[in-house]
Amino acid sequence: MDLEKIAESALNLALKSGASEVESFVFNGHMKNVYVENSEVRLVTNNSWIGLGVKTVLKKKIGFASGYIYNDESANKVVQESIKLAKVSPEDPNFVGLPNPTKPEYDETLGYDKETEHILMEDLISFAQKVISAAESDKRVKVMNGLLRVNSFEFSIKNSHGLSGTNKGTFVFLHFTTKSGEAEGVKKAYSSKISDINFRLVGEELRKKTLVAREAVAFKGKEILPTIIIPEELEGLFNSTLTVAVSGENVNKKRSPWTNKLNEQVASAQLTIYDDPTFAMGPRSTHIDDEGVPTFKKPIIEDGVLKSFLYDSYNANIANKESTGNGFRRGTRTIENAHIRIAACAPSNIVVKPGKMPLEELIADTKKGILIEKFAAPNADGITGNFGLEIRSALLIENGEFKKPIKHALLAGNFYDGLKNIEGIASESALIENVYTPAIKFAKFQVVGQ
Amino acid sequence: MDLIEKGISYLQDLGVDFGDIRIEEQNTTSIFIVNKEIRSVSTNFQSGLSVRALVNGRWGYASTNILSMDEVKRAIDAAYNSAKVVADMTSSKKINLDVKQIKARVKADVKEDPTTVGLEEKLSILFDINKAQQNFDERIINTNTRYGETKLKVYLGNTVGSTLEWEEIRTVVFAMSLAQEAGKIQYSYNTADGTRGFELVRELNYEEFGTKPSEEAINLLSAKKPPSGNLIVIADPSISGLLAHEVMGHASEGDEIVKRRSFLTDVIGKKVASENITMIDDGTIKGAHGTIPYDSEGTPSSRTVIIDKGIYKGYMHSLETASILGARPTGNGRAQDTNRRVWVRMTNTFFDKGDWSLDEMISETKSGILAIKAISGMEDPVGGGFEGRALMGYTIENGEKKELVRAFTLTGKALEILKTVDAVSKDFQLEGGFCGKGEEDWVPVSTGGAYIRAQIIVGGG
Repeated sequence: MDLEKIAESALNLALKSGASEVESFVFNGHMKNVYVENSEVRLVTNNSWIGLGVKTVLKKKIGFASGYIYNDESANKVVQESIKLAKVSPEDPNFVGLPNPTKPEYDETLGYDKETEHILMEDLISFAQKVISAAESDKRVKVMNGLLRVNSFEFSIKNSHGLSGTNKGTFVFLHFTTKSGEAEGVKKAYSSKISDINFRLVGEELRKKTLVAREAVAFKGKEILPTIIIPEELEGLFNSTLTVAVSGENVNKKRSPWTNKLNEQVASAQLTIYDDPTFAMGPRSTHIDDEGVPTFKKPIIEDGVLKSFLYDSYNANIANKESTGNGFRRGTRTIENAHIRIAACAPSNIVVKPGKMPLEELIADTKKGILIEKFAAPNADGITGNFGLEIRSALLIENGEFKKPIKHALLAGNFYDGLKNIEGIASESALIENVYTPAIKFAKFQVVGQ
Repeated sequence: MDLIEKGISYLQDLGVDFGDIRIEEQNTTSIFIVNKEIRSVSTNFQSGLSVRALVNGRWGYASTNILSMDEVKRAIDAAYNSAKVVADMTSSKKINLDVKQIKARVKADVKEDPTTVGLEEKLSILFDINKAQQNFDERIINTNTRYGETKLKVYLGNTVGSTLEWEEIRTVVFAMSLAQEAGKIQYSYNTADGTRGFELVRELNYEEFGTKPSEEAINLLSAKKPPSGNLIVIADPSISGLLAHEVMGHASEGDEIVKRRSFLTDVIGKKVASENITMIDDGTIKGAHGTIPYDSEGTPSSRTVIIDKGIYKGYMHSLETASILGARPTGNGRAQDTNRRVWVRMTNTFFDKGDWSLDEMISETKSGILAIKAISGMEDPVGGGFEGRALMGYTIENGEKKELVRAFTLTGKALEILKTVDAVSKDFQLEGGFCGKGEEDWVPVSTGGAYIRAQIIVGGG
């Protein structure tokens, strides 16, 4: 099916049916999944779909309808439903207009890899088997669950202001877990290119992590310690706090703790973070966002100073600003259901500027501290920044050296305060979902044992 | 159904060990109101088809949204070929599934199909709730009110000759209020949901439903810092449900037992909790959010007693795990949608009621904390560790509810916590939500049950 034609005819039908403004978004998705259970590939899935999402505006009354489509009739139904909703919807006084066309700065091929799109199921199965055999090269380690997913997509976006864009993308997501005794190991990997992922290395790292967790003993007592958090666990913390704090919508609604703090110091001067749609490996590497607005690289925090909020077109209009190309519908580990979402303020790829010291030196430079390997679920309250997270595996540091691994403890603190008190940032980064960050050493969080 | 019957006969010709085809038609409507103004009104309708083929103990799945015979055949070929490739590339062996032939048509058991109610009426009710939230106090700076309805129609056929058609209808109303004063922000929420129709909305008192989260958020602005340490905790149903679902429930899913990943492997017949604890997964509870007539494999849902008065009784199963472990399929083989895999998932999971009233539980507690409203929690089927966060609580001193305290975290080993349970309430409540496994594959469930009193570590306030 020709996606641009579908988008065009949906647009025309909506205009003919009385809409004053229209946006149509046609999304063709493909997903291959290889599932591992109990050391074996047990199940593989092949999925493909075409979805249409249509926003119609009647003066300031807005309707949005979406659905899978397979012929003209099913596409027309989406348009008619959207119009029907707009007719009965109350006026949205905050709505100004859909975005106007602007020429993208970057190339359309950003975030797309042909080899990844056309990878064979047999190859994916053998990649998964490489992870398993590397992880299980130590007999004490068994792979419990694994998922290797390849997403590929193409979409066409058009609106009645003449905006028209197409985008193609790919990205790979890997998530494996192991067990050894009572301990668990987890490893994730991401990239827009399958050739970026070294499957054997992933398996080896998984094995090492599991063996560390295996030796962990319960932590006793209560201590305030400098805390190093590795990228795997920082992703969830950034996405539950930074993403909330810089969202233009949350700023408009005063939900963001950084409302009114633009150009103020919100973090340590060591911290610089970009919203970077040009970061090639990232799942949201793209020349346009999901409203068709061109994206661009920008600092969110520069030397600790808050530099920008991220806006989709709706929220930019409310704030009397331009969209920053941050209206996204696509997810960061799967592209399913992009067509059923209304674009919302979200970062493209969050890229944290690395420091000068390798992680090893950051550890060696720590008199007393803790390095977190695994939380139960790494997230903080985005509105207040507070967290109390169960540590599943961590390493205590004394005089620059690792002591015994620990578990069964709680790390408590406030992540926004933590960002203000950074002691060091490592020089090597890893990509987890849409966050490319090095390990960060925070001055003090509280560790509470049982 | 014709497409499914033809497809099944094609699957049989290919020589699969087992196969099924499922079509899901889903219509959803959502309304979202923010600060007394409309934010979005949307509908989504989609039909998808999923084919599963079992060849030599390995599964191939394929899905499509194009419901033509040519496309269905393409999906069947893709599913069959994938299963064969995996079977050839791994050391696989045949498994025999215990599938009973069923022919049935089941309508959703609701009083008022929400798709028959006009959008204007839904909007007007939502605005009433939102106004009650917003008007409560001028320190309320942000209010969100959401409505959602889902009507799912499922058609399923398989190679043992079953043909099934059923409906599931779910309705949900959610309100969240945010309060701010002197740089401090607090929030609270209220929710109503179930496999019910629009009667769920009509039964609400809109003013009260909207006022409650705002009042709680305002009260939290002056709440005290929670205590920490190993405390006597009375956990409300949302928090006891978190323990039942996240730790005990996920660890009782058959696939975790097959892999021997669960800390509850090999415990059938053993004492795992105080005799006050009975734990159930029940997909048949009328109106509960996790209720399903059949699971995604066409097995009728059922009531599974997991723990009976402290003694561990049995696991939840899909067709595959039941066959491997020689158990009965319990109707817990569920998939998020036609793009996703089927695996063992919970339905409505809870600690069953006891004979205490909540007032008695409080008045007979010398010193402790009442934990209210779960805001997050995480599964741990391997280690059996519990981590849950309560939005708020009350300290209890000499049998009386004293000071309101802010959010805190509860942790500990689930089995150790359950051994200390000495009181379980008559009050019983289920709260709906969506459960993920391995951080994705979301299915509608509910958790909750009774208030329980136990010794739990409190921290992170």
